[in-house]
Amino acid sequence: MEFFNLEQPNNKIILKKLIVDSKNKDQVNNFYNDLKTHWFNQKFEVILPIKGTTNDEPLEKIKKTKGSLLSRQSLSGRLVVEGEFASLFQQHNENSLPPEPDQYEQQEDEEEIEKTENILNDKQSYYQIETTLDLILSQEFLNKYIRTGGFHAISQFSYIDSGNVFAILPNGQIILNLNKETYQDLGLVGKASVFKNTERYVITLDSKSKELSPTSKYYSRLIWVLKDRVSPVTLICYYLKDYNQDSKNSSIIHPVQFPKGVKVKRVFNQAIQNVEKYRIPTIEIINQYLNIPSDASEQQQQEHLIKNKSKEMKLLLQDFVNEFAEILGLISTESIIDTDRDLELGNSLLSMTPLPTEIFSASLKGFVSNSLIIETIGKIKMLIKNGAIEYGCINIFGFPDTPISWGSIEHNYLYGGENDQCILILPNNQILSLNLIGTMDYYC
Amino acid sequence: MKYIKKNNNNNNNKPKVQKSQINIPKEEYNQLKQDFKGIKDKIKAEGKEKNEKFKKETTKQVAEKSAIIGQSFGFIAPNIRNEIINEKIDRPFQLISYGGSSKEYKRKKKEENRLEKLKTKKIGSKKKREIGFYHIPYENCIYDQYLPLHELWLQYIKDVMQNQKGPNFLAKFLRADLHGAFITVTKSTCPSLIGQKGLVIQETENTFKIITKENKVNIIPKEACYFYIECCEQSITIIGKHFCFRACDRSTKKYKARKNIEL
Repeated sequence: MEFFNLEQPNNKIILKKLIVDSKNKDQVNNFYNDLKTHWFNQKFEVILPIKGTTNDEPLEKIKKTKGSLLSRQSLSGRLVVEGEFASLFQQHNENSLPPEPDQYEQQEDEEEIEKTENILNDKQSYYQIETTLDLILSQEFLNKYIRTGGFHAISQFSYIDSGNVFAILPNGQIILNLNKETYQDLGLVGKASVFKNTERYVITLDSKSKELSPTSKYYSRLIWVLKDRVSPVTLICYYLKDYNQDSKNSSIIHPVQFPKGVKVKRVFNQAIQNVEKYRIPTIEIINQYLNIPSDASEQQQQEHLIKNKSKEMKLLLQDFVNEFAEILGLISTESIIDTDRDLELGNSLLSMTPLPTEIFSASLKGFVSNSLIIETIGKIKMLIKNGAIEYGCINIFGFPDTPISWGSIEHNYLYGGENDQCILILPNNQILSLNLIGTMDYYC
Repeated sequence: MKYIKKNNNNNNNKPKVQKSQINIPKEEYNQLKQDFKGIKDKIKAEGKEKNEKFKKETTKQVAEKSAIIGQSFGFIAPNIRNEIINEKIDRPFQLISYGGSSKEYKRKKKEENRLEKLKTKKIGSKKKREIGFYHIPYENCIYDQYLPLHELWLQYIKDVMQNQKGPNFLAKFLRADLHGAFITVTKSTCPSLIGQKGLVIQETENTFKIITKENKVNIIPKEACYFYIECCEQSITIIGKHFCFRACDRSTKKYKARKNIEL
């Protein structure tokens, strides 16, 4: 594993180079833990260049006649990719929304609810609720959802530099990032924040600790503090039942029975999927930059990655990362650039690839779960093995107003609150991850 | 005469006695009347003799004393002289010292006072703390004991305020005494102080001592808190940062308006 830090005036770019073997458990766990501890994702994007489509020909539209299409290699690869991801990035109509949560309480059997839920695609939905914090931290709700783990919640329409933010992590931790004036009025003990020492305070509660047991003095004071003195909050949340288990159904979102007096609304993520032709570097060019001989076997390539730690290598990687991130940005904004304008941009990677390739790009917008991202990484690895795609990219965008970005690290907002991640999945178990971080944040 | 049975359990049946039941024949009654008259006349005669004797003795004494005074103060009118005699004759004769206004006499008195001060030992504020002069013992930390003090304070604040409102009310309230008032802390830099409420027992320059309903004495610093008080059908919040004075100093203090309320 290697780190490269690029400090820029208003944000930092951190590059990580990894080798993740599926057989080596430590490497796998380390990689997925880093992904899992990025708690709240706002947007999730997939960019997959399809193999064998680097042509100057215009994009062929799929017709519903089967025999002629399957004969060509390019279309078959495209069909395989679309077949895998079409169900995930499918747009939902409002008619297909499940019944309103008032009707859940009338239904006594939980099995019936699950049956109705599983018909729909549950990986894309989340709740938008309006409550006082007193109701959410009631003892029944704590026992049923928060202490078991897997309940994600974050406050909406509240800004971290000039307001009060509330969040529940799937660990079971509850976090309040408060303004100075509200902290002085509220009456709960917390710590001063790292970035703004006297202006902001952070209160962390652990739901599994003895402090929040129903007989404790602290819990009764907490309810007294939050009951009539705090205004209602709008939250977005979802619940994963099998959060700690590594099963196939871990990414399915389960229904939640909220206590009485909570306004509940169910919302779907906005999904977009698209196939178009962009200019993107092929895997041969990437291997040149990473200084790997193309003829070498898998073991030789891995050894080669670990050995090269010279300064020239680092400088090369820095340039490569900057330029590659620029190209990914161009694709996600759907901007096609001709070869005549290469001099204006000055991007060496783009100028090396004059021919466009077909790219499957899709995105989910709203409140995306981490386990869904881990599922898609597994799918991309499978597709690389099958030979449908050369390599894959994933972009993850975090909320700028989160109290916590990665792990237990505090987050704040100066000029921008970026906590984004870009992952490049290459063959031979190589992974390049790139993190873009605001000035008021850490990553380690 | 009315007879009321207080307890039904009392079975002591005493015979009822009435005035009309006493029957005395008329002849005996007349004799008794005459006997009473005789006794009354005897007592009157004896009283007259005593009074005459007392008058004679007093007049003799007065005459002797007046004879003495008359020689010295012959020029006083007789009416006024009698008044003086009656008022002041029994008092001893006093001489007024001539040194009352002189400088030496003043110096002597100053020295005497100074020596007296040296002899009497007063306790200083340091020693008072060492002894525990202001310490409230654990046995007396009972909330119900201080409730009459609270009622007294309510009467006192009603007399002081006299149904005033607005800025006049505040100007008077800031000078009033707060021993016995019911106080709650609404805002402070230390979050564990928020929500504490109780009666004020002591007030120093920088702290309030409060007794809570759970019979606990808590010391609360003024500088870091906002206090909330309800009285005379009005609610008041005091900013403790601008209130750091002793109770006796506050009565003559002039308060100024300030822009910064931040703690």
